[in-house]
Amino acid sequence: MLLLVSFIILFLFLYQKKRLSQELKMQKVEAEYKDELIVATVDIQESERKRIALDLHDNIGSLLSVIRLKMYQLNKNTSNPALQESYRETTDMLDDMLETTRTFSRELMSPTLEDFGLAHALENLCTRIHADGIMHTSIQIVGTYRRQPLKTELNIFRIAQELLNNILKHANATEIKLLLVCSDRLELQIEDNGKGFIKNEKTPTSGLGLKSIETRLHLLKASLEYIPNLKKGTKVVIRVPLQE
Amino acid sequence: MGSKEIYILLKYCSEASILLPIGAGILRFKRFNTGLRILVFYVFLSALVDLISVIIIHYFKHSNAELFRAYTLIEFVLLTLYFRTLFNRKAIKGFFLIAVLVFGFIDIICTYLLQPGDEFDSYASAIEGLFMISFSLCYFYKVFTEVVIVKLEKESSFWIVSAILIYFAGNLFLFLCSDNTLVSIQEYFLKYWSIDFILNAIFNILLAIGLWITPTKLTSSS
Repeated sequence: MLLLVSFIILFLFLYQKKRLSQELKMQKVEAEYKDELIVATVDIQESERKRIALDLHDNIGSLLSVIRLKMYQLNKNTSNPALQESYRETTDMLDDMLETTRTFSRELMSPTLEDFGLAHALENLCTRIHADGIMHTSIQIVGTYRRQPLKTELNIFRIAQELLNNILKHANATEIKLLLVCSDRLELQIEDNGKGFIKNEKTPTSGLGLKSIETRLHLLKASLEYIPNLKKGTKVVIRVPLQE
Repeated sequence: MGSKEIYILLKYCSEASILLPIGAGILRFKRFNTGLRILVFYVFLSALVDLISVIIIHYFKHSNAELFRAYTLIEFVLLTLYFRTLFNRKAIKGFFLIAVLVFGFIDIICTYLLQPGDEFDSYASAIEGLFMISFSLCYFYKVFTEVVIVKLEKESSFWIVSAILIYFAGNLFLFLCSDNTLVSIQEYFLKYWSIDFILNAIFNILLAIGLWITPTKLTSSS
Protein backbone atom coordinates (compact mmCIF):
# COMPACT_ATOMS: atom_id res chain seq x y z
CA MET A 1 0.00 0.00 0.00
CA LEU A 2 2.86 2.34 0.91
CA LEU A 3 4.49 1.41 -2.37
CA LEU A 4 1.37 2.43 -4.28
CA VAL A 5 1.05 5.70 -2.42
CA SER A 6 4.75 6.36 -3.08
CA PHE A 7 4.17 5.59 -6.75
CA ILE A 8 1.34 8.14 -6.95
CA ILE A 9 3.33 10.83 -5.12
CA LEU A 10 6.34 10.17 -7.34
CA PHE A 11 4.10 10.35 -10.38
CA LEU A 12 2.72 13.69 -9.22
CA PHE A 13 6.25 15.00 -8.66
CA LEU A 14 7.56 13.79 -12.02
CA TYR A 15 4.50 15.15 -13.78
CA GLN A 16 4.95 18.62 -12.30
CA LYS A 17 8.64 18.51 -13.22
CA LYS A 18 7.84 17.53 -16.80
CA ARG A 19 5.13 20.18 -17.07
CA LEU A 20 7.51 22.85 -15.79
CA SER A 21 10.23 21.88 -18.23
CA GLN A 22 7.69 21.90 -21.06
CA GLU A 23 6.46 25.32 -19.98
CA LEU A 24 10.05 26.61 -19.94
CA LYS A 25 10.61 25.17 -23.40
CA MET A 26 7.47 26.90 -24.63
CA GLN A 27 8.56 30.18 -23.10
CA LYS A 28 11.95 29.84 -24.79
CA VAL A 29 10.33 29.15 -28.16
CA GLU A 30 8.02 32.12 -27.66
CA ALA A 31 10.95 34.39 -26.75
CA GLU A 32 12.90 33.21 -29.81
CA TYR A 33 9.88 33.84 -32.01
CA LYS A 34 9.45 37.30 -30.50
CA ASP A 35 13.13 38.08 -31.14
CA GLU A 36 12.83 36.92 -34.75
CA LEU A 37 9.77 39.09 -35.13
CA ILE A 38 11.60 42.12 -33.72
CA VAL A 39 14.59 41.52 -36.03
CA ALA A 40 12.26 41.19 -39.01
CA THR A 41 10.38 44.35 -38.04
CA VAL A 42 13.58 46.37 -37.65
CA ASP A 43 14.94 44.98 -40.94
CA ILE A 44 11.74 45.92 -42.76
CA GLN A 45 11.82 49.35 -41.16
CA GLU A 46 15.40 49.90 -42.28
CA SER A 47 14.84 48.66 -45.82
CA GLU A 48 11.75 50.87 -46.07
CA ARG A 49 13.76 53.87 -44.83
CA LYS A 50 16.43 53.07 -47.39
CA ARG A 51 13.86 52.87 -50.18
CA ILE A 52 12.23 56.17 -49.19
CA ALA A 53 15.67 57.82 -48.87
CA LEU A 54 16.67 56.63 -52.32
CA ASP A 55 13.33 57.75 -53.79
CA LEU A 56 13.73 61.16 -52.19
CA HIS A 57 17.29 61.50 -53.43
CA ASP A 58 16.94 60.00 -56.91
CA ASN A 59 13.42 61.03 -57.94
CA ILE A 60 12.29 64.09 -56.02
CA GLY A 61 15.83 65.45 -55.64
CA SER A 62 16.57 65.04 -59.34
CA LEU A 63 13.24 66.55 -60.38
CA LEU A 64 13.78 69.53 -58.11
CA SER A 65 17.26 70.02 -59.61
CA VAL A 66 15.80 69.93 -63.14
CA ILE A 67 13.05 72.41 -62.17
CA ARG A 68 15.67 74.67 -60.62
CA LEU A 69 17.71 74.57 -63.84
CA LYS A 70 14.63 75.38 -65.92
CA MET A 71 13.83 78.31 -63.62
CA TYR A 72 17.38 79.54 -64.02
CA GLN A 73 17.07 79.37 -67.82
CA LEU A 74 13.70 81.17 -67.72
CA ASN A 75 15.20 83.82 -65.51
CA LYS A 76 18.03 84.23 -67.97
CA ASN A 77 15.70 84.59 -70.97
CA THR A 78 13.43 87.21 -69.47
CA SER A 79 14.03 90.93 -69.25
CA ASN A 80 11.00 91.73 -67.10
CA PRO A 81 12.33 92.73 -63.64
CA ALA A 82 9.12 91.66 -61.88
CA LEU A 83 9.32 88.22 -63.43
CA GLN A 84 13.05 88.02 -62.69
CA GLU A 85 12.33 88.72 -59.01
CA SER A 86 9.61 86.09 -58.99
CA TYR A 87 11.93 83.52 -60.62
CA ARG A 88 14.65 84.32 -58.08
CA GLU A 89 12.26 83.80 -55.17
CA THR A 90 11.06 80.53 -56.67
CA THR A 91 14.66 79.39 -57.19
CA ASP A 92 15.42 80.16 -53.52
CA MET A 93 12.39 78.16 -52.43
CA LEU A 94 13.52 75.32 -54.65
CA ASP A 95 16.97 75.48 -53.07
CA ASP A 96 15.37 75.18 -49.63
CA MET A 97 13.26 72.24 -50.79
CA LEU A 98 16.30 70.56 -52.29
CA GLU A 99 18.26 70.99 -49.07
CA THR A 100 15.36 69.71 -46.98
CA THR A 101 15.00 66.69 -49.25
CA ARG A 102 18.71 65.93 -48.93
CA THR A 103 18.53 66.27 -45.14
CA PHE A 104 15.54 63.91 -44.97
CA SER A 105 17.30 61.49 -47.24
CA ARG A 106 20.48 61.57 -45.10
CA GLU A 107 18.45 61.11 -41.91
CA LEU A 108 16.64 58.14 -43.32
CA MET A 109 19.78 56.49 -44.65
CA SER A 110 23.26 57.53 -43.67
CA PRO A 111 25.71 56.72 -46.48
CA THR A 112 28.57 57.62 -44.13
CA LEU A 113 27.49 54.85 -41.76
CA GLU A 114 27.56 52.22 -44.47
CA ASP A 115 30.83 53.45 -46.00
CA PHE A 116 32.89 54.63 -43.02
CA GLY A 117 31.24 53.18 -39.89
CA LEU A 118 29.57 54.36 -36.73
CA ALA A 119 32.27 56.73 -35.44
CA HIS A 120 32.29 58.76 -38.65
CA ALA A 121 28.50 58.71 -38.91
CA LEU A 122 28.17 60.07 -35.37
CA GLU A 123 30.77 62.75 -36.14
CA ASN A 124 28.82 63.61 -39.26
CA LEU A 125 25.56 63.79 -37.32
CA CYS A 126 27.11 66.11 -34.72
CA THR A 127 28.63 68.31 -37.42
CA ARG A 128 25.24 68.67 -39.11
CA ILE A 129 23.44 69.62 -35.89
CA HIS A 130 26.24 72.03 -35.07
CA ALA A 131 26.25 73.47 -38.59
CA ASP A 132 22.51 74.08 -38.45
CA GLY A 133 23.30 76.42 -35.61
CA ILE A 134 20.67 74.93 -33.35
CA MET A 135 23.02 73.69 -30.70
CA HIS A 136 26.69 73.42 -29.93
CA THR A 137 27.44 69.75 -30.48
CA SER A 138 30.76 67.97 -30.00
CA ILE A 139 31.94 64.39 -30.09
CA GLN A 140 34.97 62.75 -28.54
CA ILE A 141 36.13 59.25 -29.40
CA VAL A 142 38.24 57.39 -26.85
CA GLY A 143 40.14 54.32 -28.04
CA THR A 144 40.32 52.87 -31.52
CA TYR A 145 37.02 52.22 -33.12
CA ARG A 146 36.86 48.88 -34.92
CA ARG A 147 34.03 48.45 -37.37
CA GLN A 148 31.12 46.29 -36.25
CA PRO A 149 28.51 44.44 -38.32
CA LEU A 150 26.38 46.98 -40.19
CA LYS A 151 23.22 45.99 -38.31
CA THR A 152 24.91 46.65 -34.95
CA GLU A 153 26.24 50.01 -36.12
CA LEU A 154 22.89 50.94 -37.59
CA ASN A 155 21.05 50.11 -34.36
CA ILE A 156 23.49 52.17 -32.24
CA PHE A 157 23.27 55.01 -34.73
CA ARG A 158 19.46 54.98 -34.68
CA ILE A 159 19.45 55.03 -30.86
CA ALA A 160 21.83 58.00 -30.85
CA GLN A 161 19.73 59.71 -33.53
CA GLU A 162 16.56 59.20 -31.48
CA LEU A 163 18.15 60.46 -28.26
CA LEU A 164 19.56 63.52 -30.03
CA ASN A 165 16.15 64.21 -31.56
CA ASN A 166 14.61 64.05 -28.10
CA ILE A 167 17.16 66.53 -26.79
CA LEU A 168 16.52 68.88 -29.72
CA LYS A 169 12.78 68.67 -29.24
CA HIS A 170 12.31 68.66 -25.48
CA ALA A 171 15.47 69.48 -23.53
CA ASN A 172 15.80 73.22 -24.15
CA ALA A 173 19.56 72.62 -24.20
CA THR A 174 22.28 74.71 -25.76
CA GLU A 175 25.02 72.13 -25.77
CA ILE A 176 25.29 68.38 -26.43
CA LYS A 177 28.39 66.32 -25.75
CA LEU A 178 28.89 62.86 -27.16
CA LEU A 179 31.55 60.48 -25.92
CA LEU A 180 32.23 57.18 -27.64
CA VAL A 181 34.45 54.87 -25.61
CA CYS A 182 35.80 51.88 -27.53
CA SER A 183 37.19 48.98 -25.53
CA ASP A 184 36.04 45.38 -25.23
CA ARG A 185 32.59 46.97 -25.48
CA LEU A 186 31.18 50.18 -26.87
CA GLU A 187 30.03 52.89 -24.54
CA LEU A 188 28.19 55.87 -25.88
CA GLN A 189 27.52 58.78 -23.56
CA ILE A 190 25.18 61.57 -24.57
CA GLU A 191 25.05 64.55 -22.26
CA ASP A 192 23.13 67.80 -22.57
CA ASN A 193 22.74 70.92 -20.48
CA GLY A 194 18.99 71.14 -20.84
CA LYS A 195 16.18 71.17 -18.32
CA GLY A 196 16.82 67.60 -17.24
CA PHE A 197 14.81 64.49 -17.38
CA ILE A 198 12.84 62.99 -14.52
CA LYS A 199 12.86 59.29 -14.99
CA ASN A 200 9.69 57.62 -13.88
CA GLU A 201 8.15 54.23 -14.49
CA LYS A 202 6.03 55.33 -17.44
CA THR A 203 8.54 57.37 -19.41
CA PRO A 204 11.02 54.78 -20.76
CA THR A 205 8.36 52.74 -22.52
CA SER A 206 5.97 55.41 -23.67
CA GLY A 207 6.23 56.94 -27.13
CA LEU A 208 7.22 55.43 -30.43
CA GLY A 209 10.79 56.74 -30.28
CA LEU A 210 11.47 55.25 -26.87
CA LYS A 211 9.83 51.99 -27.93
CA SER A 212 12.18 51.91 -30.90
CA ILE A 213 15.16 52.53 -28.58
CA GLU A 214 14.00 49.72 -26.33
CA THR A 215 13.64 47.30 -29.27
CA ARG A 216 17.07 48.13 -30.63
CA LEU A 217 18.67 47.83 -27.19
CA HIS A 218 17.08 44.38 -26.90
CA LEU A 219 18.51 43.36 -30.27
CA LEU A 220 21.96 44.62 -29.30
CA LYS A 221 21.70 43.03 -25.84
CA ALA A 222 22.75 46.46 -24.68
CA SER A 223 21.87 48.52 -21.63
CA LEU A 224 20.79 52.11 -21.28
CA GLU A 225 21.29 54.13 -18.15
CA TYR A 226 19.99 57.56 -17.25
CA ILE A 227 22.47 59.09 -14.85
CA PRO A 228 20.68 61.25 -12.31
CA ASN A 229 21.97 63.85 -9.84
CA LEU A 230 23.32 66.09 -12.53
CA LYS A 231 23.01 69.74 -11.63
CA LYS A 232 21.67 70.52 -15.04
CA GLY A 233 20.75 68.41 -18.03
CA THR A 234 20.71 64.71 -18.62
CA LYS A 235 23.35 62.09 -19.21
CA VAL A 236 22.49 58.87 -20.96
CA VAL A 237 24.95 55.98 -21.16
CA ILE A 238 24.51 53.13 -23.60
CA ARG A 239 26.69 50.06 -23.16
CA VAL A 240 26.89 47.62 -26.04
CA PRO A 241 28.73 44.30 -25.77
CA LEU A 242 30.78 43.64 -28.87
CA GLN A 243 30.73 40.51 -30.97
CA GLU A 244 33.93 38.53 -31.29
CA MET B 1 -7.49 -2.87 22.47
CA GLY B 2 -7.46 -6.39 21.06
CA SER B 3 -7.32 -7.35 17.42
CA LYS B 4 -11.05 -8.13 17.42
CA GLU B 5 -11.90 -4.64 18.70
CA ILE B 6 -9.60 -3.10 16.11
CA TYR B 7 -11.27 -5.25 13.48
CA ILE B 8 -14.74 -4.04 14.52
CA LEU B 9 -13.63 -0.41 14.66
CA LEU B 10 -12.07 -0.64 11.18
CA LYS B 11 -15.19 -2.38 9.89
CA TYR B 12 -17.45 0.43 11.09
CA CYS B 13 -15.05 3.11 9.82
CA SER B 14 -14.83 1.40 6.46
CA GLU B 15 -18.60 1.07 6.19
CA ALA B 16 -19.15 4.66 7.30
CA SER B 17 -16.55 6.00 4.85
CA ILE B 18 -18.97 5.37 1.97
CA LEU B 19 -20.93 8.38 3.26
CA LEU B 20 -18.08 10.68 2.17
CA PRO B 21 -18.32 10.04 -1.61
CA ILE B 22 -22.12 9.88 -1.33
CA GLY B 23 -22.16 13.33 0.31
CA ALA B 24 -19.71 14.77 -2.24
CA GLY B 25 -21.73 13.19 -5.06
CA ILE B 26 -25.04 14.68 -3.86
CA LEU B 27 -23.62 18.15 -3.21
CA ARG B 28 -21.72 18.43 -6.47
CA PHE B 29 -23.91 16.36 -8.78
CA LYS B 30 -25.05 19.32 -10.91
CA ARG B 31 -21.47 20.11 -11.90
CA PHE B 32 -20.60 16.58 -12.94
CA ASN B 33 -19.90 15.34 -16.43
CA THR B 34 -20.96 11.91 -17.71
CA GLY B 35 -17.96 10.12 -16.24
CA LEU B 36 -18.49 11.49 -12.76
CA ARG B 37 -22.23 10.78 -12.90
CA ILE B 38 -21.42 7.14 -13.71
CA LEU B 39 -19.10 7.15 -10.71
CA VAL B 40 -21.79 8.58 -8.41
CA PHE B 41 -24.13 5.84 -9.59
CA TYR B 42 -21.41 3.30 -8.79
CA VAL B 43 -20.96 4.75 -5.26
CA PHE B 44 -24.71 4.56 -4.58
CA LEU B 45 -24.85 1.03 -5.93
CA SER B 46 -21.90 0.03 -3.76
CA ALA B 47 -23.63 1.40 -0.64
CA LEU B 48 -26.87 -0.34 -1.60
CA VAL B 49 -25.13 -3.68 -2.13
CA ASP B 50 -23.43 -3.38 1.28
CA LEU B 51 -26.81 -2.69 2.87
CA ILE B 52 -28.53 -5.59 1.10
CA SER B 53 -25.61 -7.83 2.04
CA VAL B 54 -26.06 -7.01 5.74
CA ILE B 55 -29.81 -7.67 5.50
CA ILE B 56 -29.25 -11.01 3.72
CA ILE B 57 -26.76 -12.21 6.34
CA HIS B 58 -28.48 -10.96 9.49
CA TYR B 59 -32.18 -11.37 8.65
CA PHE B 60 -32.26 -14.15 6.10
CA LYS B 61 -29.15 -16.02 7.33
CA HIS B 62 -28.20 -16.64 3.72
CA SER B 63 -24.85 -16.34 1.87
CA ASN B 64 -24.26 -13.05 0.06
CA ALA B 65 -21.92 -14.65 -2.50
CA GLU B 66 -24.55 -14.50 -5.29
CA LEU B 67 -25.05 -10.79 -4.66
CA PHE B 68 -21.34 -10.08 -4.84
CA ARG B 69 -20.96 -12.09 -8.05
CA ALA B 70 -23.49 -9.83 -9.74
CA TYR B 71 -21.95 -6.77 -8.09
CA THR B 72 -18.43 -7.60 -9.40
CA LEU B 73 -19.71 -7.59 -12.97
CA ILE B 74 -21.70 -4.36 -12.56
CA GLU B 75 -18.78 -2.71 -10.76
CA PHE B 76 -16.47 -3.64 -13.63
CA VAL B 77 -18.89 -2.27 -16.23
CA LEU B 78 -19.38 1.04 -14.39
CA LEU B 79 -15.70 1.65 -13.67
CA THR B 80 -14.76 0.71 -17.24
CA LEU B 81 -17.34 3.17 -18.56
CA TYR B 82 -15.84 5.81 -16.28
CA PHE B 83 -12.34 5.11 -17.68
CA ARG B 84 -13.81 5.25 -21.18
CA THR B 85 -14.83 8.88 -20.61
CA LEU B 86 -11.23 9.79 -19.68
CA PHE B 87 -9.89 8.94 -23.13
CA ASN B 88 -10.48 10.73 -26.41
CA ARG B 89 -9.38 8.37 -29.12
CA LYS B 90 -12.13 6.26 -30.61
CA ALA B 91 -9.92 3.16 -30.80
CA ILE B 92 -9.27 3.31 -27.05
CA LYS B 93 -12.94 3.91 -26.31
CA GLY B 94 -13.70 0.80 -28.37
CA PHE B 95 -11.06 -1.14 -26.46
CA PHE B 96 -12.93 -0.47 -23.20
CA LEU B 97 -16.13 -1.91 -24.64
CA ILE B 98 -14.22 -5.00 -25.77
CA ALA B 99 -12.76 -5.26 -22.24
CA VAL B 100 -16.32 -5.33 -20.84
CA LEU B 101 -17.24 -8.20 -23.18
CA VAL B 102 -14.04 -10.11 -22.34
CA PHE B 103 -14.57 -9.68 -18.62
CA GLY B 104 -18.23 -10.73 -18.94
CA PHE B 105 -17.10 -13.92 -20.61
CA ILE B 106 -14.43 -14.55 -17.93
CA ASP B 107 -16.98 -13.88 -15.18
CA ILE B 108 -19.39 -16.46 -16.64
CA ILE B 109 -16.60 -19.06 -16.79
CA CYS B 110 -15.59 -18.31 -13.18
CA THR B 111 -19.20 -18.42 -11.96
CA TYR B 112 -20.28 -21.63 -13.63
CA LEU B 113 -17.06 -23.60 -14.05
CA LEU B 114 -14.29 -22.54 -11.66
CA GLN B 115 -16.12 -21.33 -8.54
CA PRO B 116 -19.73 -22.51 -8.70
CA GLY B 117 -22.19 -22.50 -5.80
CA ASP B 118 -21.78 -20.38 -2.68
CA GLU B 119 -18.07 -19.77 -3.13
CA PHE B 120 -16.88 -16.15 -3.37
CA ASP B 121 -15.83 -15.05 -6.84
CA SER B 122 -12.18 -14.48 -5.91
CA TYR B 123 -10.89 -15.34 -9.41
CA ALA B 124 -13.22 -12.88 -11.13
CA SER B 125 -12.35 -10.23 -8.52
CA ALA B 126 -8.63 -10.80 -9.08
CA ILE B 127 -9.04 -10.51 -12.86
CA GLU B 128 -11.17 -7.41 -12.38
CA GLY B 129 -8.31 -6.00 -10.26
CA LEU B 130 -5.81 -6.72 -13.03
CA PHE B 131 -8.01 -4.91 -15.55
CA MET B 132 -8.48 -1.93 -13.25
CA ILE B 133 -4.73 -1.66 -12.54
CA SER B 134 -4.05 -1.76 -16.29
CA PHE B 135 -6.65 0.94 -16.97
CA SER B 136 -5.22 3.12 -14.19
CA LEU B 137 -1.69 2.76 -15.53
CA CYS B 138 -2.95 3.60 -19.03
CA TYR B 139 -4.53 6.76 -17.61
CA PHE B 140 -1.30 7.75 -15.84
CA TYR B 141 0.68 7.09 -19.02
CA LYS B 142 -1.73 9.23 -21.05
CA VAL B 143 -1.58 12.07 -18.53
CA PHE B 144 2.21 11.92 -18.39
CA THR B 145 2.71 11.91 -22.16
CA GLU B 146 0.12 14.57 -23.01
CA VAL B 147 1.01 17.00 -20.17
CA VAL B 148 -2.09 19.13 -20.73
CA ILE B 149 -3.35 19.33 -17.13
CA VAL B 150 -1.97 22.41 -15.40
CA LYS B 151 -2.52 21.32 -11.79
CA LEU B 152 -2.79 17.59 -11.49
CA GLU B 153 -3.66 17.70 -7.81
CA LYS B 154 -6.74 19.73 -8.70
CA GLU B 155 -7.89 17.23 -11.29
CA SER B 156 -10.74 15.00 -10.08
CA SER B 157 -9.82 12.13 -12.41
CA PHE B 158 -6.33 11.96 -10.86
CA TRP B 159 -7.76 11.34 -7.37
CA ILE B 160 -10.36 8.90 -8.60
CA VAL B 161 -7.91 6.84 -10.65
CA SER B 162 -5.46 6.90 -7.72
CA ALA B 163 -8.27 5.54 -5.51
CA ILE B 164 -9.00 2.78 -8.01
CA LEU B 165 -5.32 1.89 -8.36
CA ILE B 166 -4.66 1.74 -4.61
CA TYR B 167 -7.84 -0.20 -3.87
CA PHE B 168 -7.59 -2.82 -6.59
CA ALA B 169 -3.80 -3.25 -6.43
CA GLY B 170 -4.01 -3.58 -2.65
CA ASN B 171 -6.81 -6.11 -2.87
CA LEU B 172 -5.03 -8.07 -5.57
CA PHE B 173 -1.88 -8.17 -3.44
CA LEU B 174 -3.98 -9.30 -0.48
CA PHE B 175 -5.59 -12.01 -2.62
CA LEU B 176 -2.23 -13.26 -3.89
CA CYS B 177 -0.78 -13.35 -0.36
CA SER B 178 -3.81 -14.97 1.19
CA ASP B 179 -3.92 -18.62 2.05
CA ASN B 180 -7.36 -20.20 2.24
CA THR B 181 -6.29 -22.54 4.98
CA LEU B 182 -4.98 -19.66 7.09
CA VAL B 183 -8.02 -17.44 6.50
CA SER B 184 -10.04 -19.90 8.48
CA ILE B 185 -7.84 -19.14 11.52
CA GLN B 186 -9.49 -16.29 13.37
CA GLU B 187 -6.39 -14.14 14.01
CA TYR B 188 -5.33 -14.33 10.38
CA PHE B 189 -8.92 -13.70 9.27
CA LEU B 190 -9.08 -10.52 11.38
CA LYS B 191 -5.79 -9.18 9.96
CA TYR B 192 -6.80 -10.02 6.40
CA TRP B 193 -10.11 -8.23 6.61
CA SER B 194 -8.68 -5.33 8.61
CA ILE B 195 -6.36 -4.51 5.71
CA ASP B 196 -9.30 -4.80 3.34
CA PHE B 197 -11.27 -2.33 5.48
CA ILE B 198 -8.37 0.13 5.48
CA LEU B 199 -8.12 -0.14 1.69
CA ASN B 200 -11.84 0.41 1.38
CA ALA B 201 -11.73 3.48 3.63
CA ILE B 202 -8.81 4.97 1.63
CA PHE B 203 -10.71 4.20 -1.58
CA ASN B 204 -13.79 6.06 -0.34
CA ILE B 205 -11.80 9.04 0.96
CA LEU B 206 -9.93 9.46 -2.32
CA LEU B 207 -13.17 9.06 -4.28
CA ALA B 208 -14.77 11.75 -2.13
CA ILE B 209 -11.83 14.10 -2.82
CA GLY B 210 -12.11 13.36 -6.53
CA LEU B 211 -15.85 14.05 -6.53
CA TRP B 212 -15.48 17.15 -4.40
CA ILE B 213 -12.90 18.79 -6.67
CA THR B 214 -14.75 20.70 -9.36
CA PRO B 215 -14.08 19.02 -12.66
CA THR B 216 -12.38 21.22 -15.20
CA LYS B 217 -13.19 21.22 -18.90
CA LEU B 218 -10.05 19.21 -19.56
CA THR B 219 -11.39 16.32 -17.49
CA SER B 220 -14.46 15.97 -19.58
CA SER B 221 -12.67 16.21 -22.88
CA SER B 222 -9.36 14.49 -22.20
